[in-house]
Amino acid sequence: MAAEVAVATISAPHDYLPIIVQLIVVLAFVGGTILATHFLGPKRKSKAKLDPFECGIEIHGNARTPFSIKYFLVAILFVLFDVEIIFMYPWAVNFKENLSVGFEAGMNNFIQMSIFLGVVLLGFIYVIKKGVLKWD
Amino acid sequence: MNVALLIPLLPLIGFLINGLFGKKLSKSLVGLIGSTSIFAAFICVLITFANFISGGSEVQIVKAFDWINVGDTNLAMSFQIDQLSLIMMTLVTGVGFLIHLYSIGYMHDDENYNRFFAYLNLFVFFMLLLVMGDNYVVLFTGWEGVGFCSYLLIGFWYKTPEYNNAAKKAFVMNRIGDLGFILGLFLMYSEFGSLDFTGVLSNTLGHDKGTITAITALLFIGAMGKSAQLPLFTWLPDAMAGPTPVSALIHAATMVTAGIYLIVRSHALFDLAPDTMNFIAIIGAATALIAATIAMVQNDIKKVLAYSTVSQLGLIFIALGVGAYSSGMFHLLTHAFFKALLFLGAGSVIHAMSGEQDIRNMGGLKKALPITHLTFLLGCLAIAGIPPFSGFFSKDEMLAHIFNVNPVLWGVASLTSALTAFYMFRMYFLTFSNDFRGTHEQKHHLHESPSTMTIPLIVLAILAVFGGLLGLPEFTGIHHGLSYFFGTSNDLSSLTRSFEGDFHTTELILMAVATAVAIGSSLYAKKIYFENKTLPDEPKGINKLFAGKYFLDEIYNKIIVKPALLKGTVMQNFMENKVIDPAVNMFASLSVSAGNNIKKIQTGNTGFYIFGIVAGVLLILFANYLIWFR
Amino acid sequence: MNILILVSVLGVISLFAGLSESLRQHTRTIIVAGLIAITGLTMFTWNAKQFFPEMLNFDKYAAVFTTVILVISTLIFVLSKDQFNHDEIHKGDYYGIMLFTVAGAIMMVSFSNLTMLFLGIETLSVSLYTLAGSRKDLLKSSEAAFKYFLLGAFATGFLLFGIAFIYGATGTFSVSGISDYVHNTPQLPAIFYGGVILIMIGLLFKVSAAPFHFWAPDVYEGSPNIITSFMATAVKVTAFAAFYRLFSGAFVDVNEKWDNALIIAIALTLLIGNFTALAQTGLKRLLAYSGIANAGYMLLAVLALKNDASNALLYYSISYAAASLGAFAVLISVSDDEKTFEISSLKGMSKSNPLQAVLFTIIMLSMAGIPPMAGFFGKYMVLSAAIKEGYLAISLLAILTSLVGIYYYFKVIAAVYSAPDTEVQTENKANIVVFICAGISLVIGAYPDLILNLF
Repeated sequence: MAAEVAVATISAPHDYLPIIVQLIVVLAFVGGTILATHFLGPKRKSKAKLDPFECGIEIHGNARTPFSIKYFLVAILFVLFDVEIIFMYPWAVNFKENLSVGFEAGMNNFIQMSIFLGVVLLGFIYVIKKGVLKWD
Repeated sequence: MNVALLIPLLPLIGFLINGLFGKKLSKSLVGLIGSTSIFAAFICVLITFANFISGGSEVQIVKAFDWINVGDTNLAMSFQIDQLSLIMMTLVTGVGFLIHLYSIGYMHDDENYNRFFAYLNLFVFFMLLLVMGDNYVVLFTGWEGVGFCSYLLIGFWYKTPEYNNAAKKAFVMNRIGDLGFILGLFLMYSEFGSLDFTGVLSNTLGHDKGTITAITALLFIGAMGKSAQLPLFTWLPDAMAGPTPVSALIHAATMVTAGIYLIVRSHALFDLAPDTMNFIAIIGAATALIAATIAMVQNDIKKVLAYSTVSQLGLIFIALGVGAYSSGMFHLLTHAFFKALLFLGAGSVIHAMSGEQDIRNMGGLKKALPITHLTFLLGCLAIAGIPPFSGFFSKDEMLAHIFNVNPVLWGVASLTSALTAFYMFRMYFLTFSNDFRGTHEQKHHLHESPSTMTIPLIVLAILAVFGGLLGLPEFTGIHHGLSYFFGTSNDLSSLTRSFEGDFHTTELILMAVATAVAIGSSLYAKKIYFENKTLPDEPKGINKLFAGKYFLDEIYNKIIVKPALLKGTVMQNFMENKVIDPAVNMFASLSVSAGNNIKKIQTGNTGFYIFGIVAGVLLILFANYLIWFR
Repeated sequence: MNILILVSVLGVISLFAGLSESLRQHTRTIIVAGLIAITGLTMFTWNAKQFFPEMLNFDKYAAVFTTVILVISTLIFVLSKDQFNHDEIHKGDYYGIMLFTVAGAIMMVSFSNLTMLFLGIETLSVSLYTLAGSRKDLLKSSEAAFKYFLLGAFATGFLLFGIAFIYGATGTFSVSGISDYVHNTPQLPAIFYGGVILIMIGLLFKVSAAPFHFWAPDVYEGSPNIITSFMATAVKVTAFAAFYRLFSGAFVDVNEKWDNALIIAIALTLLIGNFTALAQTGLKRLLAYSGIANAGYMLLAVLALKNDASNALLYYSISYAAASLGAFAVLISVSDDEKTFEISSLKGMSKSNPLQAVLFTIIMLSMAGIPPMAGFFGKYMVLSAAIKEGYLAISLLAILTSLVGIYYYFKVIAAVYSAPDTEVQTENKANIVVFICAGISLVIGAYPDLILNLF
């Protein structure tokens, strides 16, 4: 479809005009908003205001201290498996439909997901064996 | 596998063994390998010869392998077995074997024994390629190969600078000829589109006459270099710097005949170029006479023989020039026999004299060297053209043909023959008769050479005496062996020229004249050098010119070498030192400083890199912008 | 396709083998054996076209380049003995990541869809970012990884942007679809050309062509030797194969619209690569710049793709990879990752290790393009392909700059044959990889048909 559109138009720099307009709009919006908040909002510079907000608890020490890599690993593993789970939603939705087409299509669908889960499982086993989740 | 393939292969194997492992082998083994490989090749030649005769004398092409394939041109490493190549192969391996055998004794005390045999085998290999090839490229390969081996062997005793210079001179002189040869090949290829013998020589009709003349003239220039003809003959006397067997094999019997072989092989072309033929005859005549006159006053036993070789080759070229190819080949054969014999005899003398080569310091060697003396005498009789020795028949056949075409050339040739008889007997008497004139020490040392040296002498002497049977004159009623042999081939039958009308009487008269002249000049030499015991003294009058070799070397030096050297010096001092060197150095230093400047953009700063990338993107987009919307 | 799966599985096996202490010692052996088996399988199924509809097309071109990549990788694994000893626990991981790189590379040479190309490039690149930083104890290794990642991500942006443009213009990711579109559209939109140029920029970055080469010297210098040799050989060949495959498959009909951009890049690459190499004193950095310069010659094959220059590209790739891998193998045998190895440190090699010196000389001569080594014929082929297409000026520049190249390659040879500064111990052995590489340089130089008849 995009191809048909392209055939109709003769390419010239002004074809990019919408992009430039959008660019200007985006820049204007970002710049405008920053400027607007700058001018609209009141400015009060007390110590309490400038302190980082820490759930009401008083801060102590610097935030930039080294802490265990485990936090990072757990976080990133969580994201990884979380995203992989998301793949299962469209699969689950389509599974029922495919099953209604016939046994073979359903089986195919099942095998494909099994392979996917198998690969994820391998990764999981690897993570455990590597001792990433050991918390000592 | 065809036996013919073994013929060049065996000497090559001999070369590889002696060249690679010779240092580790004992001297006798090296000599054995060197000679056996040639002898085996000789046997193979005989087998091939027999097969050829029994096979109805059909020309055979034996292909070893595909060699050069370029475009439509396909040059194979293949060999042509026909009457002409068989004769040459027999000569090369037969005489080659005898000389190898001789070298075992002659070179026995040399420390580089294995190197000598390796070179000698390599030479035979290339010589066989030369005479066996079925196209001009194989022939040229052999041609260059023998030239190279000749260079190696002339400079075999490389510790003496003079010998090295002689080797270089031979190489350079040959190069001049080779340039002509290769230009001839180029012209031939552009005219015929082929370099095969069959492709060229069977399609001579319908070509431009001028082109044919040019091709033949260029080929003859090649022959001039290799066969030592005027003006390129001065290398051959100098080439006597090499060991004597080398002189016998390369500079008398085989390599120097390559030019003759080339012309005989290409006679179909030469027949179409009468201008070239006349040129060949004139050059041959001039060479024959000039070399013979120089030989009269030489005192070095090998130099006499060297000039004699040049002179005899000149005679053969006259014969070729008048179209008497078969007679030329005949004399080539007999000359190979008696000149190899003479050289080997001279080697035997030198061996006995502990390296002395000046005939003025010899004399009276008859008693000390009986076998050498006898064989040498037979050689002298043969070359002088005294009946019934081989030289008589071959020379007189040539003379008859020359007379038939041009009596003036006949006069020159006869004069040359007379001079030949004179200087040969001059040398013979000075060497072998009267009293010994050398030092006491030499006299004490005199001895006959070992049997490995005398056996070849005897065999060659037999050939020199009876070689004439190959081609008895027509009037004897016996088949002329060589002519008959060539006559069995379609391509080669035209090598033989027959006389028009009744020529027998003339021929007999010519023979009588030649014999009388030969005997007369031999007797004259005997009178001067044997009976009067004259010794050659300082040359006077015209002899000065002869002794100075017509001052050709000096002339070449003056008009060619000196100006060339001068140009070289100017170029070295100005072009090379002032222009080329600084220019090259400038480019080099510019490049390096460019590198040192460009490397500064590699700052190590990632931000700058990204800047560079963006700049590059903009550059490319901008360049393309100009293209898209122009 | 099977090959891709097998390589990935081999990578997973390597990861798991690295977990057990006893298996860890044999990981490399298992991988080399596995790779040899897979290479054999690739060659066995040479003509069997396999494809994964619209995504991967395992044709002859893919099979040939896959074989080349697998052979190089096998040699690199042979070479990597003792190279990861500093980090015993993670050995299996490094091997695994290298195999995933190979998997990405196979995707890149067999794609028939832009998404697969992108996936391949990212699989390859992300693995390489990690590998470049595998010497965590060395600052320069981390620096290399970080620079590579930053600049690589930047370039990936261009590539993606270009792919998006192309999709915007054509409505398809499929290479054949794009080709059809180009055929059937008389007036292509500007956005299409923009896409082509942006994709080209992204790929030029991957092949380290100037002016997108900035990452290469620093990353080559900082990465561990074995990883650098991997990047300079297998990865480079892959990037060129992908570049050629994409441009000959999709954009060949509009080559007059992008060839000038490519010519600019080639000219800059040749000049910067060759001249900067002149000024180098470190062997590894010299090889890095030589890699940039060689990229310029290989780009000539891409430039000449209108008249099927794939043979020339393949031949050049093999000759370059052989020479480069051989040179790195020598480097690995004489130096470690920690210090910069100066060219002058090669002095005395001809005394201490004559065999290796001779092999190294062959390799350097091949790099310099001296006949009869393979490098000469590679240069000859790409140049004749380019000249046939009428790109005379740039070919002339390539010839001139290759003269400059001879200087710095001979500088290395001269160092090898110089007198040593100190007494050296004589040993006469060479790494099997050096031997193989020198052998390849000689053999395919003598018989170029061995390679040219592959297609």
